[in-house]
Amino acid sequence: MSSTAHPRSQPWYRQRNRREVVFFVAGLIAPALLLYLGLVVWPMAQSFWVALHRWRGVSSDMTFIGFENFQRLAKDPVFLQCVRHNVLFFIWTSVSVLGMALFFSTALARGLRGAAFYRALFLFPNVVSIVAVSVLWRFIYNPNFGILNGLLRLVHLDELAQPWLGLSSSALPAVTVSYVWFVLGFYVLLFFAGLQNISNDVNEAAMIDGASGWTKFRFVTVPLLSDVLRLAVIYLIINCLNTFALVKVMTDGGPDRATEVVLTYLYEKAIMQSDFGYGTAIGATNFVLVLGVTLLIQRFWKPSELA
Amino acid sequence: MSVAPARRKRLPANVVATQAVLALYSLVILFPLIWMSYTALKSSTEIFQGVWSLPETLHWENFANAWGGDGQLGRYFGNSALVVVVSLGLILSLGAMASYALTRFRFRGAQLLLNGFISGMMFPIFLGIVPLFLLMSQWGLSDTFHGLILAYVAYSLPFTIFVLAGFFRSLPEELAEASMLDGCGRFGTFWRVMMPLAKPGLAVAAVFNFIGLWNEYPLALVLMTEPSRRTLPVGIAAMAMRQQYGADWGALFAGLVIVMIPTIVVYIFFQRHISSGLTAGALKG
Repeated sequence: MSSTAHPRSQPWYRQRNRREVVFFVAGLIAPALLLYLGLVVWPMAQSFWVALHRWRGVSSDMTFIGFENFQRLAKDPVFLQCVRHNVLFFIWTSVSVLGMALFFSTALARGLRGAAFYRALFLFPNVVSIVAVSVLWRFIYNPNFGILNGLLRLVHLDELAQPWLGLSSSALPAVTVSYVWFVLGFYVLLFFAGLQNISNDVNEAAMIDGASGWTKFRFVTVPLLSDVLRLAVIYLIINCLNTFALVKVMTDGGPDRATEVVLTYLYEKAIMQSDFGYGTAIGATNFVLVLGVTLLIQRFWKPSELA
Repeated sequence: MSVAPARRKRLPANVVATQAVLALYSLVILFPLIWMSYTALKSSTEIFQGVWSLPETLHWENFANAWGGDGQLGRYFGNSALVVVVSLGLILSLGAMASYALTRFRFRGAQLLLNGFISGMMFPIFLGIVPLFLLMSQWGLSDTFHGLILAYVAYSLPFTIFVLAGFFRSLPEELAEASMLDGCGRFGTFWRVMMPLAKPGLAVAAVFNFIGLWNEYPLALVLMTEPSRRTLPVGIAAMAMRQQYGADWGALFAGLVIVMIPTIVVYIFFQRHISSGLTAGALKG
């Protein structure tokens, strides 16, 4: 239908009105569209183009080098280390978050006293910014006055007290713990909402058939939660592979790159070292990786028909 | 919610254990926040003396020091306030205008444009951040408030249009007719009749955008490097990273408290909207 006018407010044959409407609609859309195209779409498209060049900031000196940046990436030990860290971060986070969120959400869905209060409280860390959480946990992990070491010393486990963010062995796990603290509430809420959608009939049928707590959980609740789980995993992939602020503020990739992730490396290369070609190549690769994994999940993890 | 059938005997141990774990995790959430708060009132020496000790006297000056003086948080707070408020105004106006036009006027390409906007939610900021940074430098927009505001508005449009499109679509057509017949004019209809009706949608968009922009870090870090113009997240992060080498820890803790307060306040007021909005969007999407 090529009519541009609100169907019944003016006759279509009135040429003057039609032009008026076109201007009106265009005028409404133009500012948003211009900003979006200019500052979001164009830079993103440009990214792929810049990634094919060597460009260190002197504007005229942009050399086309084809896929050289990507070849360099594939052999870059730092980049590979970053990917490893992102993957580990994702695995640890998912296992903890999904496990705990499932537990808490099912507990809350049982109508325990204070469920609403708990749900509200658990989301608290998520509303305060990731930067604030990162700074807070830097303090918590502080070897001298932080409460983690304080707690360990209190229970006479002094030997375990260490500079958590200062040792390569503990830095990434420590960062992961902060992230789990930050994000768990969101996933509890997500699963809780999903559980609410599960039909009561199914639950009661399971009960009548004699399925007890754990069995019911495994064979009824979990399959029905598959949809929400799938969504949660996708969110986790996106957020873990794209993590930046958490690492930047807590450890800045240290100690000795023990917590370096793809996006902090991008920042270092592109913004700090002005290696724009290489930096955008990192960004493009990361985007493709995330997209690829997400699409794989969409394809192989089928949404249940019980929606 | 599932209800245990009458014939099943409730196992108290099960319930008690669950309540215990819930309570324990609540402590895990609350305790760091409480610790942060009372440590903010200690002097630097007290902080190092004992992790658990409560402050002897309440050092309220930590807050003043964080805000002004060395801390500069007051300035960062002001910068964030400026940027966020102006951005919000622009986001809501531009977003509403675009969603209104795209959902209530049927023309070829309307759906395409709408999808184009909404799909922007899927693309990570870091994909475009380097060219954006270069673009802004070229146009003299880097390290400026208006530059950052424009970037914030652009990146917030997808989500905002997504939210508002739903609301505008649901408004009845007869209303527009009636208003035009009353001599309201097209823009008047939009601004004075339709917008007020979309208030719930505008509120949701406003709250989520506020929280997102107030806490935004990567764009502000890359686009605003001049220290005096930093936004709050960038500012507190810089303060925390700088204070490695012996400084006013009390003020740092106080600074962190100051940073957390606005979003906690917003959360307490809008908690129900936030929780339902988060999951509704996620599940329907």
